Amino acid sequence: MNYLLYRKEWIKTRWALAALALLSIIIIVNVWITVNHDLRFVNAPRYWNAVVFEGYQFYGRWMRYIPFVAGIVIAIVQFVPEQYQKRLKITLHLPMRENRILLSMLSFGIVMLTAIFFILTALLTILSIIYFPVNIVWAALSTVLPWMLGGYAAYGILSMIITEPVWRYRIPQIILLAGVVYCFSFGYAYKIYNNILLTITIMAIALLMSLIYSGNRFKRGEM
Amino acid sequence: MERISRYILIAVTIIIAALFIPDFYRKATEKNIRAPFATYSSVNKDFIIFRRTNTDIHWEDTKGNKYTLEEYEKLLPLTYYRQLLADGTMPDSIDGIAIDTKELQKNRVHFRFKPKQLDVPSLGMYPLFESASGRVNLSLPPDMFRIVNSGIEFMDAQTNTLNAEKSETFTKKMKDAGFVFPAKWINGNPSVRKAYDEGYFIKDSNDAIYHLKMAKGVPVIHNTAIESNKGIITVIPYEVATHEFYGFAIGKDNSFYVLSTDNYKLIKLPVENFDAKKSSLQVFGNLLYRNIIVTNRDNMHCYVTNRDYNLVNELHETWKTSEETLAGKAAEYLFPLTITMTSKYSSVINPIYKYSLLSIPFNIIVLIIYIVLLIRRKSDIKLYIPEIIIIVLTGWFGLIAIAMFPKARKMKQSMIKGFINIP
Repeated sequence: MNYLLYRKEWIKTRWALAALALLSIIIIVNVWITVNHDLRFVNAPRYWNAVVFEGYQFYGRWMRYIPFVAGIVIAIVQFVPEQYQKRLKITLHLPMRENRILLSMLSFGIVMLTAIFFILTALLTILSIIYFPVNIVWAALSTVLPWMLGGYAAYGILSMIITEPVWRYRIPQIILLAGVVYCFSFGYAYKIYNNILLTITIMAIALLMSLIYSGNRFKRGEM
Repeated sequence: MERISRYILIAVTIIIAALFIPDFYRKATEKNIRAPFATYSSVNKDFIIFRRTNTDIHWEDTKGNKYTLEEYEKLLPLTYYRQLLADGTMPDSIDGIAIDTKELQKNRVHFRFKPKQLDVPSLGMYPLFESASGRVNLSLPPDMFRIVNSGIEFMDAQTNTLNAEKSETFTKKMKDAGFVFPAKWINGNPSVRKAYDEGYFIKDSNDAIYHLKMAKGVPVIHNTAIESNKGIITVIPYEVATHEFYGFAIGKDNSFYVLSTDNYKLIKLPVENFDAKKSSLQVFGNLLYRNIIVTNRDNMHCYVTNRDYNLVNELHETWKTSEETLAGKAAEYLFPLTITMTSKYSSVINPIYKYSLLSIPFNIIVLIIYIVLLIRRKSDIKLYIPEIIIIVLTGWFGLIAIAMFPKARKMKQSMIKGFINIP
């Protein structure tokens, strides 16, 4: 049963996933080319100095948006079709506990998001280890990590918003989504989230559960 | 599970409300309160205070005499000598000391400390300049160093590889001087825009503070022996043209020192009301005086010393902060919880949570409205105890959150009956 459910999710999301993976690769390749280019024009010590003391973020500004875009896109392709013509009703009538069905759908989304984030992180690590010492690589990764946590949080909240059966509740929830995304998307210097990394990790994980709330409202037929 | 996810959503909504709503309110109501700025006049031996509001700018002394910009500059010839020279009004001597503009230039100091500087996220890489190159300008070295458990490592930027030979030489020299790896902190002034380089002050794992620099490619390392009894929390290197000090140091008890080049002697500045976590401190030096200004949220203290750091005069001022205005006080009654992600005391995200007990009366009013609504809807109030607690504690933020994520309604009796009656 679980296998069939995952297969259904896979059919819904595969093209979006391929697009997101491709986008991640393009962005990292772009960073790679840019760093390489800049190192030909600015000497390397000057470049390192800009990274270390001026907070120049060599991975560029697009990197910050990818995790949020990924979270949002996966939530949309996974849950909008369910909401269309109330198909979620059929899904929830499968011979499984409703919460278990919802959790399976969520875990599928989380695994897919993790796959995208893994591609991003792995490529960024490989790229930066070529040009920078571990101190800088580590700083870059710990600056990027909160954005990925924000991607999970955005996925959790948006999947709830889409599943929410009553339109007037969705509007304040969208404002909440914007507020949460804002909190996770600071990037004015390296390592700024390090003091509260644990707090935001817990917050992101907790927000992944949001779907359970609106899924149950949907099941009861709230309107 | 549904209940847990609901409470998580309510909690997050309250956090987001506490983050944004008080901030919107502050931005809409905050008044610009500018701290006065004081300088010490070598001409009339009095403080000249610069006061600025949105509508008025003026300078005055402690007796209330007001000055124009031109008069103000004439009272501070050691600072505004370039303007006075251009105007032809520069005095030949002050206090019997003949004025030489080169000396004036050389003896200028302008140092600023802000609490933010103490927690700048460090990437742990530093350039070690060649301090005796014989060149007028400093230039960036081809490598950067880091200090790890086993020693100091120089990484070449062009190749991103370890310069093993240089690393070994420096590690050996540092170990010979008694340095115990790794380092607790490394402080320097890694800028090429300074007259010369004095390298880094490094605290080793035994809490001894060392001074490291490079001269003609060779490591120069000294144990400064300044940590022994003063409880120095940090050293802030600051090179000045007179070479009279290496920089400044802050003690555990918020004392502020000048770290003299005379065998690393610490000279305590006669400064009170300084808190390294909250106060900004500026040192303005000229040929005759050192003017030290400590600025806090609602007060300013100005200490003038002679060149031997003996107190000559002092000035203290306090003012009302934005929180003390009517709008600021009202905020404490209106907002049960205020969260700020970043503060001016920290350069990283360090949330500050402020819970206001004064908001409880307003929370109770919100609660009464909520209970009236529950009664009108004929709900069983006993089922809403958690909601009531949330509203008592978090007031209207809690109410917004509860309204956004309502409790699951019980199935209506008629629906259940309908179920049972199915033939």
